[in-house]
This record gives sequence, structure tokens and C-alpha cells, in this order.
Amino acid sequence: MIFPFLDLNLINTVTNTPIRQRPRPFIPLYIAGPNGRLIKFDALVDSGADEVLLPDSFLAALGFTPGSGVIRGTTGIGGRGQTVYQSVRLELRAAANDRVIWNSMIGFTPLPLQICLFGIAGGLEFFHTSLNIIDRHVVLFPHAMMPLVPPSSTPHVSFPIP
Amino acid sequence: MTDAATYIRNRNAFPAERLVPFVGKYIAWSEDGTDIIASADTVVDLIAAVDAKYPVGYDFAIAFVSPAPVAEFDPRNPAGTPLDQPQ
Repeated sequence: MIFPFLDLNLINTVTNTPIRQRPRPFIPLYIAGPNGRLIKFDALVDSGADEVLLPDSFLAALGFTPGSGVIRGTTGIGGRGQTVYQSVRLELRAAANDRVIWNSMIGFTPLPLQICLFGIAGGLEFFHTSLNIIDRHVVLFPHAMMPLVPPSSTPHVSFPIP
Repeated sequence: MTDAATYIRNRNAFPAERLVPFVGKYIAWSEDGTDIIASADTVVDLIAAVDAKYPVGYDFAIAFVSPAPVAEFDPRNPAGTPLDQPQ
């Protein structure tokens, strides 16, 4: 699966002008929780992140019950917080006939994180990953050990949370 | 379905100036990445706004429009570096 880099626009809020455009390895990651809703979100391929991490504001959108999940203290840029770990279904689609689906345990953090970090555990550990900075694309090739889930023909999927 | 490469290229071609009103907000990109179809302060509100306008299962994408970090501000050049200038 080849994904071109996404040009990340940074906007000067003093002058209200775009001042920077940085190509970054963002990939469109689909996430489904217990409510079966499939949410597509920009995820940064981040080999420096220990795991897949999202803002905790996504918990309600994915249908998780408040107070559920495994809670662990984590530290990152922005400080230390109680991260909630939940089982979700993740999916990457390069094209209609080129997609991978897998179940994973990912973290939802209260830290000031507005993007999804596609880190090692639950994410990059399942892919051979290649970043091509010159040509501005990222290549993700599913590893043979990846616990694949058969593709569903419906855009919304339901699955039991282990 | 729009393939991921086309979707990302469409996003990259979107004029950066049109993102200015959405700084600090979550936005929903259209299925092909050519337009912004909704914005909100929270993810839950954003999904509700999209659901009100589009059928269930519409393949939109959620993104956050980041303000520039304070370190990016240069008081000698408040307008910043033009986007077409090599970085």
C-alpha cells in the first residue's frame, strides 16, 4: 500500500495566513468501536510512538462506555495522563480491492493530542514500513504475522469486543 | 470509492487559505478530499453535523486544523514564508 505524504498546513493565527506547508506521512486510518461506526481519521505514521494513540474525545464517537477499558498512566509530549486502552477494529484502504483489517488494542489519551499517532504496538508492528522522504510517500506492506480480519462488504461493521 | 492516493492528492491541492476559518477545529473532508463539508469543536459534534447532511455510511474523513506553533512566528516577517517558496 502506497500513500503519498499529506501536506500539513500550519496557519499563523495572528495574521490568519498559512505560513508553512510540510509534507508528512499521514495515512487515512479507519477505526470502528462497539457502535459499529467506521470513522476515518488522519493518522501520522510515527515510529517514535510506542502504540497507536488517539485523543480521548473519540471514545464517545466510537461508542465506548465511560469508565470502561484498561487505564494506564502514560507520558508523552504534553505531560503525563491516564490513557484508556480499548479494543477496536482498524482498517487501511489504498483502494477498493486493496485493504487490510485487523483488531487491535489502542490508547485514548487525555493529553493535548489532536491527531492520531500510528505507532508501533497495534499498528506499525504489523507492517513492513518504508518512508521515502525524497519522493514523499510511505509504503506499508502487511507482515505475514498480521492477524487479518476478513473484509466486510458493508461500510459499517459490528464485532464483539473481547 | 476514491483511492487513497487520489484522495490525498486532492487534499494537498486544496487551497490553504480556505483552511483559515477552521483553525483549532475538527473538520470533515468529503469522500474525494476536494472539499470541507462540516466543522465543529468536538469529534462528536462533527459526526452529528455530517450525519445531518449525508446518508449513513458516507465515507468522510476527520482532520484537525492546527495553528502554527508559537516558535513558527517570526516578528520580523509576520506574514510568514510564502507557500510557494522552497522550504
